[in-house]
Amino acid sequence: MSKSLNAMSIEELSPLIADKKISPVELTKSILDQANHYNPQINAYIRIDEDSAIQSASKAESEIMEGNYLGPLHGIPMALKDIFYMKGQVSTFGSKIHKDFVADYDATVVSKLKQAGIINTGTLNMHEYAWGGTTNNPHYGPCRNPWDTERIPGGSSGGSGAAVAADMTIASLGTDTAGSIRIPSSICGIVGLKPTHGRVSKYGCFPLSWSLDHIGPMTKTVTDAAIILQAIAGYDPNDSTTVDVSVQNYTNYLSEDIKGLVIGVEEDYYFQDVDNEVAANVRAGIETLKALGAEIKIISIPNLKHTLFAEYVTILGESGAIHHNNMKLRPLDFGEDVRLSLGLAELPSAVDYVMGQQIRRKIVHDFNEVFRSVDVVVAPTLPIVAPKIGEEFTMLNGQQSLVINDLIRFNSPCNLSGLPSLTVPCGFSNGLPVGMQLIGKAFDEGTLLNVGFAFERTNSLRNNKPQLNDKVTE
Amino acid sequence: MLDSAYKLDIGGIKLQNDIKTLLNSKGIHLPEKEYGILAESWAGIEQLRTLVEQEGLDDSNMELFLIPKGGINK
Repeated sequence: MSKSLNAMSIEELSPLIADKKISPVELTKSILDQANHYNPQINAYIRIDEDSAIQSASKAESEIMEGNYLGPLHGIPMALKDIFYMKGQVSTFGSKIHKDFVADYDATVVSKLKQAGIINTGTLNMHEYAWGGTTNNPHYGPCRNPWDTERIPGGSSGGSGAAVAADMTIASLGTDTAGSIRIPSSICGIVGLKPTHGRVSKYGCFPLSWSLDHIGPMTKTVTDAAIILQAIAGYDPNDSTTVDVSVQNYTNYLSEDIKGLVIGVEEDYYFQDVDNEVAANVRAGIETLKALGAEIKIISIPNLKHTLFAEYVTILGESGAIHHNNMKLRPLDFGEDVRLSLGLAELPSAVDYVMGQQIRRKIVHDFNEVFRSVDVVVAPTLPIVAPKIGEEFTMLNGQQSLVINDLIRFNSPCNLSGLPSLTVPCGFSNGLPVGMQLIGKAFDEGTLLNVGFAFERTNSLRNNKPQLNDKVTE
Repeated sequence: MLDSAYKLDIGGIKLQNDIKTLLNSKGIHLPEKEYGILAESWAGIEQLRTLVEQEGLDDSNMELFLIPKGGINK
């Protein structure tokens, strides 16, 4: 076997576990060794749950040896973003205020993954309360990008992105309110899937902005994303935002055949102010899809130009309501950047909020028109590569550009519209990964997985992995 | 999260004071230097709103008054 166990994907591991050729205990130890060894450098984990992970792995191993194999996630070690309720365990949400919070029930996604047989290895670093895109966490330390530890892993699910890229977990879950699954996935060179709003229950997930929040997989491969989505998708009576729509059989869509699919390309928003090398990588990806048999069609989505206003007034209004009391009672217990965001949240008027919702309707209308004649829209996930830790501004084609706007402006349309979006690695710019975003029709994650799978088979990262070393960055 | 991309002029100083008054009236008290940063960030959002207002929304479209929720695209 050429790869170490911790470097393997779910699709590689699960048949070997099912055939009893790999021990879940040995696999879990391999992940724990990698996590313990590299966490001082990457700081992806807030907490490594070594003893309980080994206990769970032993239980899974016994079940499998007795012939009770549950499916492709049985015996797979996974660490999750520290935003989910886990019964009897501390969940910090990346905050000081909730540093000792212990839930008395499991989040629905945690419950479903446990039922599928995963081994939980710990909780992963995140931007405080998911309110930011850098994972430069003032309470638990900055998480670092495995491709360049001077740079951010993105956020808010930065610990998940970094841990998957650095083989410190086999896969993870993230949450996404303005791109927080897709930003770190793109920046860390992995696969991230934000499903349709209402596809995955958010019950037991600490909210940032409930009408924009989503939960989804962050994985090494498209197949792994399909496997995890299969496990967590579905209506949940405990979450009124879930929708009772039948769940597709996602692995059935994992085909290299995309002949005849129509790919929409929008130039006026998604290709404006994009780093030249990033744009070149994504355009090359589009050409690859064309070579695989897809038809390319130029499209227009006029109301995308109001994305940032709608995103900001919505996230500010909703997050401000959630944290209002703590802003009155203990504002200094928030990190400075989150405190500023929550201070800003007190400023928009009710009219601003409603205007934001009107723009959302218009964006949805635009996308619905587009999806009458195309199957998938392709765009850059980000206009930039990973900024350095602490940078407020980055250089974009020689011009100074605001990092936070660059992180969210291509991702937010799918939070505002609720449409599913998959990011897949499509190349490198200056040695840093670039992501290509695929946007689909509501509840049609299957077609996104089909296109993503076909593209992945062209091996756009050329098997490159981050080169980790043992130096701890000061 | 929002950074200070927009620098304050004299009108901005007034905005900063207005923001402080508003937040204090809600019982929220922040370190003094942060009111200036909020004013700069808020000026950025007001710029975005101006672009929306210039466009003009179709106020007679009743669908626009529905607040989106899960399944919006179904």
